[in-house]
Amino acid sequence: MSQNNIPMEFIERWKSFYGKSQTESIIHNLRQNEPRIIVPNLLKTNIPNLVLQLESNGFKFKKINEFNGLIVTFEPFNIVSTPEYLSGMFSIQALSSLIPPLSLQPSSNSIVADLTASPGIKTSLLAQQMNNRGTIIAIEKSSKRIPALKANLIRMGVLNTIILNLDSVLFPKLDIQVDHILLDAPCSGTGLKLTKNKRLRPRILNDIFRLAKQQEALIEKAWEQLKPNGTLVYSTCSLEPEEGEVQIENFLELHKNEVVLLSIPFDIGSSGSNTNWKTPLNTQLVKTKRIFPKLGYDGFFTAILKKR
Amino acid sequence: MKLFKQLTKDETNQVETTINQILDSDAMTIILKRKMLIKIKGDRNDVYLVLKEDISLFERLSSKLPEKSFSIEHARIKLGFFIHEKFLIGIESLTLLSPLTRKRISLDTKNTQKFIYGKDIVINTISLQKQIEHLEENTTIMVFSDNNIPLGYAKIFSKEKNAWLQNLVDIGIFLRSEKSAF
Ligand SMILES: C[S@@+](CC[C@H](N)C(=O)[O-])C[C@H]1O[C@@H](n2cnc3c(N)ncnc32)[C@H](O)[C@@H]1O
Repeated sequence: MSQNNIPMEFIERWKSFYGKSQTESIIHNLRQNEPRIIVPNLLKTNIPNLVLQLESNGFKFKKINEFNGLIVTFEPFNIVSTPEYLSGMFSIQALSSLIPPLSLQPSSNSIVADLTASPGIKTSLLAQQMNNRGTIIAIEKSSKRIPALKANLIRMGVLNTIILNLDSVLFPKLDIQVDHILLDAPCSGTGLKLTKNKRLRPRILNDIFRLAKQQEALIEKAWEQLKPNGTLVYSTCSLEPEEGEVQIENFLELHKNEVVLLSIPFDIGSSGSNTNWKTPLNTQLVKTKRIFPKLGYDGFFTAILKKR
Repeated sequence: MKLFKQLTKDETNQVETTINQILDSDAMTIILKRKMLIKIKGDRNDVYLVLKEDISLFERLSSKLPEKSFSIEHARIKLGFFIHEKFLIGIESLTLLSPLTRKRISLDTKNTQKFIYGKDIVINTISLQKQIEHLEENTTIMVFSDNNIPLGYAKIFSKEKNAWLQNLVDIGIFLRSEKSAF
């Protein structure tokens, strides 16, 4: 199967959730080659300084209005071998990765749990918002994925994080209450651009149900440890409502009196309530975001849940 | 070994002295008034600088979770590690220590590239010589690019008329061995 082939099973599903023309746009955008996008690390630099330094070495950029992103338009040599990259002055990432941590808005004295942390792109964005103060407990279940998490956090100059190799369903056992939780849950990844997605095969459809169960268990366990008035951001890089809108719908149903959804503070993407599902979705889902793939963005879902 | 353990007095002294010497100040002594040094379980005897409050979190971890189910992999700021009872500075300390140091050398673009490829630097220009002439042999210093990016640590060596910086550790490690070094 060529890389650009998207199985019909997915196309039919997306049409039923998002309509024909949105699905055509999804297919078109998933197939695009993604340029390199860099985002400055505010712990170490700012845009003008970073641009000045890299331009003096021959790199060229185009600014993206949202999220301080820069598209690399000319790369005289591999940008990851520059002292600027190696000293953590910027990261290379899809802009969609900024939405969950920036939606969480932790402060410099927050205690934050990042329950699915590796490779740490979002952990580092949390540390930037916290000005490297407070505490982040970054949890990752896979020991194989720990070295990349450590290397990224160290390179990016993150100083406020404790990394645990642990299954986050055991998080409540730690018996600590936290102010904010990021749950960037393991998912089918169907929203990822095809150049970085080796998995878009029909059999992934079977995984959606299994993954949705895992995600549900993780949100439930996370919720137990959230302080009253605390917030939890749930996100997945999936286009499947079972891993997004429906997950939140079910959670709202189970925890009616304990939770309110907060609006995602960015004017981007569509509202989760526009997604067609078998039954009408809870009206609160208007506050969630369904992000479709486009330049700089993977397909994505994000919701902010506040504990009453 | 427990999940973590506080450094002994001797070990603490060694870390404090080594870092103060690298910085040419007593900054580490001041830092240690409010923070503490621990090792966490692991075969390299890594040294971490943590907050006093962190200790209760770690104690809770050990008491609440079965030991096999988890490990602490990193705690706030890693400074370096002990090998054969000797403390060696690690690349992880660069973010904390680079704004504090007075013992430093800046390299031009060509030498910067060489240094972050893990190479030693020959002191073969007056500008390099001037920057280190007041320092003794075997001194560990911090190395920067000419636009002030911290690149790593080096030791000054000389033999007859030649002097060079021996690369101890540099940020190129993130490219060369992201998977194995951390
Ligand atoms: C979508 S990725 C997270 C990406 C990361 N948040 C970032 O921005 O760089 C999901 C991660 O969760 C980890 N994971 C999956 N199940 C987990 C669990 N039960 N507990 C902790 N981590 C888990 C996976 O190994 C994977 O590294």
